[in-house]
Amino acid sequence: MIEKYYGFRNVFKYLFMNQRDIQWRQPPRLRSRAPMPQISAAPSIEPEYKKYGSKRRDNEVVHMARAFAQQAQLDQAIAELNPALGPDVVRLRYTLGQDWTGDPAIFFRILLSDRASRRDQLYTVTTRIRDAVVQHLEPFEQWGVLPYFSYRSQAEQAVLEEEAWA
Amino acid sequence: MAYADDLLELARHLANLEPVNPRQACLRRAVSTAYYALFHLLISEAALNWGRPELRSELGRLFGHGRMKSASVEMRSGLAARLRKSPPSAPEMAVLKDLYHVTDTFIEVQQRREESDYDTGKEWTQTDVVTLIDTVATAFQSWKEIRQEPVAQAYLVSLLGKRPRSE
Repeated sequence: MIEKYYGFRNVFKYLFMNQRDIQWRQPPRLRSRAPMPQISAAPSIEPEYKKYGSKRRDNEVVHMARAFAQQAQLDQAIAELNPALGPDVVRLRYTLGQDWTGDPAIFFRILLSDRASRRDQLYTVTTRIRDAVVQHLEPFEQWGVLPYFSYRSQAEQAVLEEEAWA
Repeated sequence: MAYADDLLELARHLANLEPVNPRQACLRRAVSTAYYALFHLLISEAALNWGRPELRSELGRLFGHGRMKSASVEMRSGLAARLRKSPPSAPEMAVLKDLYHVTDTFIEVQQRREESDYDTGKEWTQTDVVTLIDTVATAFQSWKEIRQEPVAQAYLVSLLGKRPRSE
C-alpha cells in the first residue's frame, strides 16, 4: 500500500513538473523501479562508451564513441600510423560517421602509389595496410567505431581530383 | 555453393568489363554482386544443415542483412579478442583467422554494397572495386577451409540473429 502511495505521488509530481525539470529530475522512485536502458555497441567496448555518455530528455543514456569525443587524440593516433603503413600509402584520410545500420564508423580513404596499385600486388598491399591500421589503431576496441576502407591509385585520383582524397 | 561462385565470377567480369574508363554502372554492379556472392554463400551453407532440401530456400529467406551484420560484428569482436590472447602457435589459430577474415569481409562488403546501390554521389574506381572482389574471393577460400569447424557452424546459426522468445 505504501509502495503504491509513493509511486502515485511521484507520478503525480512528474506530470506537473515543467519541461526543464523533466529533463533533469526524473522521480527517483520511477527510476529505481525500471532499470535504465542503455544504448551501446558491443559489450567489450561499453566501458569506453560510458565515459562519454550523456543523458537524453527521457533519462536514457546515449553513448558516444570515443572517436567522436576525442578527435584530436584520434588524429594523433592516425598520424602515428604512418611508419607502419610504408611507402605504398601516399595519403590516408578519414571521415567519422555512421554506417548503413547507424553504427558509429570510421571511413578510411587510402591513396595508393601507382606501383602498389598494380593488379599483381594490389591485394597483398591492401591487406597489409588494413592489418596495420586495425592492429595499431584498434578502431572498434579502442575507439568504438567500425572501420571501413576505400582505396584509390594516384592515377585515378589525378583524373577524378576529388577533394576528399587530396 | 554454385550460385555464390557464379555471382563472384560475375562480379569479376563486371569489374573488368571496361579496362579503361569503366562506367560507374559496371563498377557499382560489380560491388553489389560481390556482396551478394558472399551473402548467398553463407546462407546456402547455413541452409545445408536443414534436413529437408525442399525447405532450404524458405529457410534462406529468414536471413536479414541487418541481423547478419550484427552477428558478424559480434563474432569478429570475439575472434579478435581470442586471437590477441592465443599464442601464435595455438592449433586453433588458423581456423580463427579464417573465420575472422570471413566476418570482416562480410561487414566491409555489406557497407560498400549499400554505398554502391544507393549513394549515387560516390565515385568508384577500379582499384577499389578489384580490391573488394579479391577480398571476397579470399573470404570464399577461407570459408571453404573452415566450413565444418564448430565455430564456423556456430557463426552460421548466429546469422539468424537474436530475438526475444516472445516475438
